[in-house]
Amino acid sequence: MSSGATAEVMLPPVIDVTAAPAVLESLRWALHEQRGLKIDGSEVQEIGTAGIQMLIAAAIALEKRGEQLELHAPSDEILAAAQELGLYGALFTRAVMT
Amino acid sequence: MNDLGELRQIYLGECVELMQQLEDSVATIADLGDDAEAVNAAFRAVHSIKGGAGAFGYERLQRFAHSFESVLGRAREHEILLDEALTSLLQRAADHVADLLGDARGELTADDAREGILAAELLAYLSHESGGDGAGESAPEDLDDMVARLLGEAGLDDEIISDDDVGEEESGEVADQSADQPSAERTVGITFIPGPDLLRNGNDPRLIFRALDPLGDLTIEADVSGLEDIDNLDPAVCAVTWSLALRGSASKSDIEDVFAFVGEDAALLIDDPWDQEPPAAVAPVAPSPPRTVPTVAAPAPPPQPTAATAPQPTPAAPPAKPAEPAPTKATQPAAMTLRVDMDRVDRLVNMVGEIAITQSVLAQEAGRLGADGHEALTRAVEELTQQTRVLQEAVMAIRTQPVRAVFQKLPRLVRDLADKTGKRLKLVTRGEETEIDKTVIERLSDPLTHLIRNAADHGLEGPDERMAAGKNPEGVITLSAGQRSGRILIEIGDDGRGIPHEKILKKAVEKGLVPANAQLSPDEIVNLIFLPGFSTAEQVSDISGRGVGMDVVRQNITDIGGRITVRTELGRGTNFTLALPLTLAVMEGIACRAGTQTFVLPIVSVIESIRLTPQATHQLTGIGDTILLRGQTLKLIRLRTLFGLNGEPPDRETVVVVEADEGRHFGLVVDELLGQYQVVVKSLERHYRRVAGVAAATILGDGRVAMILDIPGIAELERHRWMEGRRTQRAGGM
Repeated sequence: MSSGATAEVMLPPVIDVTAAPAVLESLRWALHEQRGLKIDGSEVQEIGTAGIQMLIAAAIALEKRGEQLELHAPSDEILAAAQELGLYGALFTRAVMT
Repeated sequence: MNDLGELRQIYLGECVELMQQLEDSVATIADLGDDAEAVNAAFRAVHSIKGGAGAFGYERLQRFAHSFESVLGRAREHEILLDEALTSLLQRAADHVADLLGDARGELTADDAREGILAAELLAYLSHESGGDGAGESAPEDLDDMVARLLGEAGLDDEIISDDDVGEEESGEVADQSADQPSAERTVGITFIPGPDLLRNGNDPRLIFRALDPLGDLTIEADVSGLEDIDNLDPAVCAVTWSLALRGSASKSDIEDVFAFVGEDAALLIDDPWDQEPPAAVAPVAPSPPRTVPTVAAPAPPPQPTAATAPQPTPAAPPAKPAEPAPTKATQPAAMTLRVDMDRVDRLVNMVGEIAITQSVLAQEAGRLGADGHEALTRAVEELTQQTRVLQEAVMAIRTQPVRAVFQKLPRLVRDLADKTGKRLKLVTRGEETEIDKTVIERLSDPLTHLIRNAADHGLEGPDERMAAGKNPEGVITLSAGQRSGRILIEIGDDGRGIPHEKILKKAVEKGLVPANAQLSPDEIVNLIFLPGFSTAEQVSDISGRGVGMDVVRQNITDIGGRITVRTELGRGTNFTLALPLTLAVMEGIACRAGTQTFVLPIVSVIESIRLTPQATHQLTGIGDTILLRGQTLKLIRLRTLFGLNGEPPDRETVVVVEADEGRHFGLVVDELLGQYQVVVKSLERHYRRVAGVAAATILGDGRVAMILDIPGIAELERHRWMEGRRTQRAGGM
């Protein structure tokens, strides 16, 4: 049941297969409990496919209920990873960068 | 360490084995000439190193390996002649690949200038129109002109290429210089469908696509329909699939190499217009990845999978095409191996050592109870003793490795020494497969390096001098390893000048190391080179001969429980023999008591023991206490005196005749012998500090701590004590 507020999730510096489950849990909780989702990507120094696909999955989930993911200050690493994976469009057509 | 770091470490670890394969193969080529299997093995090793280098962004290594691989490819196809000049280049190129890998590990910096020269030499072979005859019109031009010409042709400055200068766009030039594909471009379609274990097994599509990028213009399309259900998303499973288009002239094998690490963790379809035949059949996506790249038989792109499923493989498919051909003579036979962290092995060895000590205590206590009424206990303890010994041997075997691990660095050392000295040098090795404990191997490198430097600098003559002596102008250094009587014997020999005895004795007298009137046998004279501060080099070279060498070498060897001896023949050469223990972890020893202390003598040093009567002892001026043993005077060293031990001496002491090094015996006087034991060696340095005359410590079955004696160290300690005593006497005005 959405509370109407926007959840903020701060991404950790390293998002690999080991760290991904914890991040996903935060995203799932935020999606279930809040109306909007703002993800702060300023601290991310390393992110792989596991991390980028979670961001896109969160964006798709918000898109389905008529909302848009806010990706705040994505680090160069996030942008580079999305680009190298061919997922830049998949992420940034569904998310707004702030 | 995160996933990327772990994967990088795995790659660098595998490169150690690949470098070994490369060096062995190049050594075989140097010995046998154009050996097809060796050339092939070298090609595959460089190919594999190159593939991983691309995946991890080691661009400099990737570029150099690419040129090296291309030259090996031409040699393999007999397009260029594998003569002495090319063989030398292959050796130097292999050395440089080793340097670049050292660079990747952060251990050293590869030489830019050397790389530029080698790269130009490799390019020269790639520019040859045809092979077969390497002489005449295809003979290499002057090196400077060639470098300038080739760099100019490539459109580059005369400056040496460095990592800073080359960006991603330039790395594609390396692929264009490949000699194995036509220069026309085409677009290769690649469908990449990750399996459920891809990410868990450390393969990230981001790294894979990054490695593909230098091969041409890469266009990536991703299908994210598998990300529609975040509640059921498994973060460790890649739910995205990709279709890529790579436009360029890279070969299909180059493209497949990029996916080499993926194995069966993904379904891969490569649609290459240059293919003459349909692609090989599929292997199903499975959890455990071998080093092959399976290809899907169906030419059409597969349907969009969900995160939880993989595409249905074509049934009854023949085996996938392997990325590398079958093993050849130049490689080890396929054996099941397992990579284990060294710390885990060390912990296991330590625990087995503790078990052995506990078993020893148990055996001692069981013995004290006596056999009557305790037969079952006695039998059980005997079985435990046997089982512990078997377990110890099995665990030690895990930690042994072929001595080749040390030998493999030495051919390069000899090549460098040949360059520095201007001499022609050849290294012949034998017995590289001899197994030795890793702890011993780690301590062998320095002494072997020094002995070989000495042989190159002092032992071996220059070509003119050798020819004048009727010898082959090329000096030979022989390095061999073998096992004999429970010891490892390593011999380093040369066919050089030999060590002149008169010169040694004269220098030793000049430096006050022996008295002027000393009567020494030839063996004793030549062993003087192991005394501290001894060097007979006329000129100290930067290769050897600063006079801090042979005593340090001997100390290094005795520190690991070994002995070093030397034999020499004037005009014929010199031979050093290192006798080393199989392992540093356990040893057989004779326990003895002196005063209130218990000591263990390494059994390999013990010759015999005799009970001493006071009348048998004679004091000789300049030597001290001695006895006459079978007509020979034997110097006595009392452990009580040497270590200042307390306690009432017994009525009759025991003399243990020990060997310090070849030909040098003395009698160690102790209170009594306690028996022979197999003891677990505990490092004193690690727990306390180095103590002169003591090699290590152990815990005996009765719980006592005993010092394991360093026999040559005892001899040295006694010599210092004796010299100090004489100096004190002289200073006292006697």
